[in-house]
Amino acid sequence: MDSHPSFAPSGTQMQVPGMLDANLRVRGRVQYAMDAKMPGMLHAKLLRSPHAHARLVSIDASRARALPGVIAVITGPDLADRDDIYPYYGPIFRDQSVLVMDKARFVGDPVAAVAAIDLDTAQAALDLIDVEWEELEPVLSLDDALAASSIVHDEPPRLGQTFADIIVRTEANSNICNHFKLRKGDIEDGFAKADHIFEDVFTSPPVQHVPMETHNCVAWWENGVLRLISATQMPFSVRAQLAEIFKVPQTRVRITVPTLGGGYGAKTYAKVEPVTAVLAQVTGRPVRLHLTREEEFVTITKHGMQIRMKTGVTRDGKIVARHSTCYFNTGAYADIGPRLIKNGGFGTGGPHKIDNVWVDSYAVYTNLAPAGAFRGYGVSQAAWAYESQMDMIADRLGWDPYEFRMKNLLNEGEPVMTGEPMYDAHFKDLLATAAERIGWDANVKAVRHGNKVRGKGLSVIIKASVTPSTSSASVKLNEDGSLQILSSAVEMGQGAETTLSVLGGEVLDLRLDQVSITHPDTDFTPYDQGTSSSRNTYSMGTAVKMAVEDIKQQLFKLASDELEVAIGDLEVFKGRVQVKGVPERSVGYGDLVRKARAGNLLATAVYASNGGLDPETGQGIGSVHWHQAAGAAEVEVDLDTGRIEVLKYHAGVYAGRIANPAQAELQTEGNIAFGLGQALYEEMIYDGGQLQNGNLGDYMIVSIEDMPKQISLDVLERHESHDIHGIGETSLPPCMPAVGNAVFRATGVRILDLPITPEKVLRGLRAIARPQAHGQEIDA
Amino acid sequence: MTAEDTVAGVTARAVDGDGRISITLQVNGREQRIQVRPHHTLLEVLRNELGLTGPREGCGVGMCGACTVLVDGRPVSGCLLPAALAEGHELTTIEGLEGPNGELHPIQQAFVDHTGFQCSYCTPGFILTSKALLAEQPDASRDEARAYLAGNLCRCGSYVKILDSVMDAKERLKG
Amino acid sequence: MPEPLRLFQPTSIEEAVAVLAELGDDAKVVAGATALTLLYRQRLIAPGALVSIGRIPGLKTIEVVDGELRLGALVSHREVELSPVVRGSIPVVADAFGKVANVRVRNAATVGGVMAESDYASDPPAVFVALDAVVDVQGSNGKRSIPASEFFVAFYETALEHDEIVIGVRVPVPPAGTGAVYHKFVTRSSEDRPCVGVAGVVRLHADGTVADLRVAVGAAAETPQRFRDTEALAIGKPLDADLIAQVADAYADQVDTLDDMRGSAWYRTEMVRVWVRRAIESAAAAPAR
Repeated sequence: MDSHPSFAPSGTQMQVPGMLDANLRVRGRVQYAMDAKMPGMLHAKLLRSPHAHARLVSIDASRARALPGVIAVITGPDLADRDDIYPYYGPIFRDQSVLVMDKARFVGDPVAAVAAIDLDTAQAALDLIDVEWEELEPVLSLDDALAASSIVHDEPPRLGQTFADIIVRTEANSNICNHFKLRKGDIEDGFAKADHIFEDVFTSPPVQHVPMETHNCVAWWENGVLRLISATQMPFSVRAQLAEIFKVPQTRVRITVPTLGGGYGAKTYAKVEPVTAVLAQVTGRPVRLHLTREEEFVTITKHGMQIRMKTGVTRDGKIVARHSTCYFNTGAYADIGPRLIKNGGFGTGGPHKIDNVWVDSYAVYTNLAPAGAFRGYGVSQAAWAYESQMDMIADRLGWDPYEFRMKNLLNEGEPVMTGEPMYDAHFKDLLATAAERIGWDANVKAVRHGNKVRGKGLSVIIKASVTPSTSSASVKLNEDGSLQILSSAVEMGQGAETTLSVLGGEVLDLRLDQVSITHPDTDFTPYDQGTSSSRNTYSMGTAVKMAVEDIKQQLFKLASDELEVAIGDLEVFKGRVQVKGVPERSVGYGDLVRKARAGNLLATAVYASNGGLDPETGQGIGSVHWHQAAGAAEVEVDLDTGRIEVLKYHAGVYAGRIANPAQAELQTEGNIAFGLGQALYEEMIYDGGQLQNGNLGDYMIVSIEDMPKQISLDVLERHESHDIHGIGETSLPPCMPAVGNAVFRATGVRILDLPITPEKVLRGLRAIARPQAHGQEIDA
Repeated sequence: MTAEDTVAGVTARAVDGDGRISITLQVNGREQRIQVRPHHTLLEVLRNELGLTGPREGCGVGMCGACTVLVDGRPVSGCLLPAALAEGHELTTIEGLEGPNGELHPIQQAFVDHTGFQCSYCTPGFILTSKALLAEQPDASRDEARAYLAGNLCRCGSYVKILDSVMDAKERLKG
Repeated sequence: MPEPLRLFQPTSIEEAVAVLAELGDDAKVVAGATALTLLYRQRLIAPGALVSIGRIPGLKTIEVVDGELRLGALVSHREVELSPVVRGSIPVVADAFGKVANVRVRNAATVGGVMAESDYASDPPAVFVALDAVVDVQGSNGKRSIPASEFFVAFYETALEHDEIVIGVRVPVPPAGTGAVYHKFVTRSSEDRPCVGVAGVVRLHADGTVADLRVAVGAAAETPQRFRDTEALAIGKPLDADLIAQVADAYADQVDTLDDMRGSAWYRTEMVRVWVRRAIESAAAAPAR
């Protein structure tokens, strides 16, 4: 793999490192939220429910309060008594309370919080809180939830201010949290046209994000203002939520966000902040809450999901109809589930031209840890279904999976599942490259050497970026010609701050050391919807570029007077405005700022994308542009054990314009690591509502040894494009079906339920009478 | 401060009124005398008492390596070692790697040049483990490096560029 | 603030044992302290006192004496893994210790610790059981030696009395011509603990018949599983595919496999069958020494 010690965007003087603050990072000196220390800071611990579903009968914290060193203990009932607090939160439904008030809804639901002088004391205090529970029938599975003999949320959802694109459709006295519908074309007519109809059920388990830095924040109150340093991907969402909880204007909540130790969706929306802020208020002191790894596992997860997918194809290989019924297990609280089911739901339409598509996608409450945003945002689950089924259909009808895909992938201008035309379509390019890099051969299914058999698999996916969405940025050009970007983009390892500095700096042809960028601070950096959904480089990048462009126009206006030429005859070059092609007739930015007596030039820009879907048909604008990726895997399966080794993986993703090559590769490689873990073993295992593997000794993530030794990347760039496509998640969803398809091609074993464990493969091999009869054999 | 606690002729480490014992650690070449509770881990003490934020907790069970500390040059999980048992050993954290004027160690420089990280939470652990690797096996192959580094987890999945960094660092160290 | 943990750091085995005898179950012995810290932090144990044996001299030996490899209790996993003495006498012991967890744990965890912990998913115990190792322990009543096969009693339970400390492990060096292997089979990440781990020891006569065959299966049940009657059936017979399959099937039938996130009981039984076969095959093919 090439490395990029530095990168020079064409036509600029910039030398771009992979990460601006790389030197700090390799010294271990970059500061995370958890490194913040405040004088007099207290340490918090949470007492959590041991039951999946239980009514809180009584809680007595008097013994804990009496323990020396304990400064405060708060319980749910304490909060219920307070008029100055609205103790509920949640990005769509306010269905989560700061602490359990009436009943616990999952094992780990926090019921009391302690603030003490040190962690030892806080921990000891937890043991002194007496809680009486009345256990209720738990809702532990999708079947339990749909049977509705027990209801997770008894009351209708409390709504609050939320997103423009939310479609809310709940059902009373049920565990259906939300229902998204898509109706494209005429589904009955579509299936009537089909010569073959296939119906299969696929499942994905809940998995955990496992950011290396767990959720944490420090909260304190200063002159009536709630201040937080928090590891969050969404400072403005958290601010709004806290203002609502404390019934204060948003100006009375100030959140700053240092760099994050990973997020992957886990750190979207309020999580640890509400309870910490209450503790800070009650104690009048700074309070830190820093979750343990075990707590992190029950804070937020990827949605477990079941998809029933019915697809109709004609005898000449065209997909003419698809009906998907999707159940997303959103756990005990909705979090962003009601919106995620939309993306995951329409995502089941896939990157194929299908005239007739119906989707019914449900978020379902259960008594498991809450599920929310997770890298891939529902599309991983959807792609697992449709890309597995593509190969299943091809196999049943004797077609080459590659050709079958090529016949159905969207072309330029053809309507996607939400009805809008696809533009900048690159699915076929991506698939062709993937097939070439993996060495796809339609005639060779499996290659066997002794008890090992190899096979290859392909997949292609489509993914939306949240639409509509809004980013804004402010910029200041100082009187020394340096540029300051005020942005609320969260740096969580994706190089956001580096990339935005490049995008801003290149507009004025500055050196990178002349550009600086702030961390988010809700008092000073302007609004951003959040660093999620692979939207930052495109959305915030656009806002930054617009703002710097504004500065450039201001400079031109000033320079036009100074140099006595028309604005149209000016250009920027190496930090100066010059008459086009005449460097001798130029003036420095700083000189212009000083002569204008402006102190600094200021500009602010808002980028808001438009779109949204019709609530009845799911038709409209699903995404400002569509993210596209392909994957190809070669696996080797041990026929005696079922164990899979991924020998080679290829990831292809369309980037539009690449803003930072090192980061583009890193994120794509990161998606491979994420995807292979989910393909092969990541899974939260519950027994009676108790998580069995909620720590990193029992829950495995991909190690360096688990990475394929051969990895190839195709970060596809279209040089004339100024449209940057987010790639933070895009190459993840293809991984799981590419591996599943490769395993099938190697062995004839089709796994419908992730992860593809050795045991499932071995059972599959046993179920096939003679596995070695499958495919073409070449004995070593 | 408290009465001597002797059992069968063996005296327990004396604790103060706050339940703390006094220990002396050699950290990055400096002797540090601190008060800790006997159950406090080396990781907790380095972070909380000595203000070293390079070692970080990732899992608390010795699996991830974000808390890696070199003990007499050998990588150990700071989260699984009671600080009191680290007495008498040379301890090195990432803060101890750079030169007197802040010059980067060649391994650190290689990680910068290859961008061998994303969120960089795990980076100090990887760099320290790489240092031990290249001290033990100056000619380590890419596969040997994979095996040695397998116990350091990077959830961002920067593994390809981490290996690139380590292989480059190997050449730089040979000078 | 919770009750403080008392820390004792005796400088002789006798002192350590005396403290243990007096404090009873409230005291825990630590060496590398990895396992204990883990359990303590997960709040699975709450001892009142730690007895650190790290300052006791004489427990760090690695030597071959009287045809036995002797490993002191304080020798780290990593030292076993890299030791030329171990590699030169019984390389499978070095291999097995080298397969434990990661390099950090191997630097801290000790021979005595892995024995005393008796974690079913550890790697070295099966190897020690297969090699007929003996565990030397010392308590208030003096020293005694316990065969490894009797040392591991159940989950996290050994034949140690509460006042006894492991002081070392002795492993008879197998006769020249013996092949010995340890296969660690993981079902998830490279960093996972074994779903099954099988130690196989094979020595053949010149005519290809079995002179010695020993197999111990780890991680599949509460303790390492070895079936001497099954082993005995192979002695004197030609080591062919049928015989190996017979032994593998017999192990699969006899191990009462457990169920965990690394594999169900059914799957483990099948893996015992596969890996016992593979262990015997590779032990038979292993470079004789």
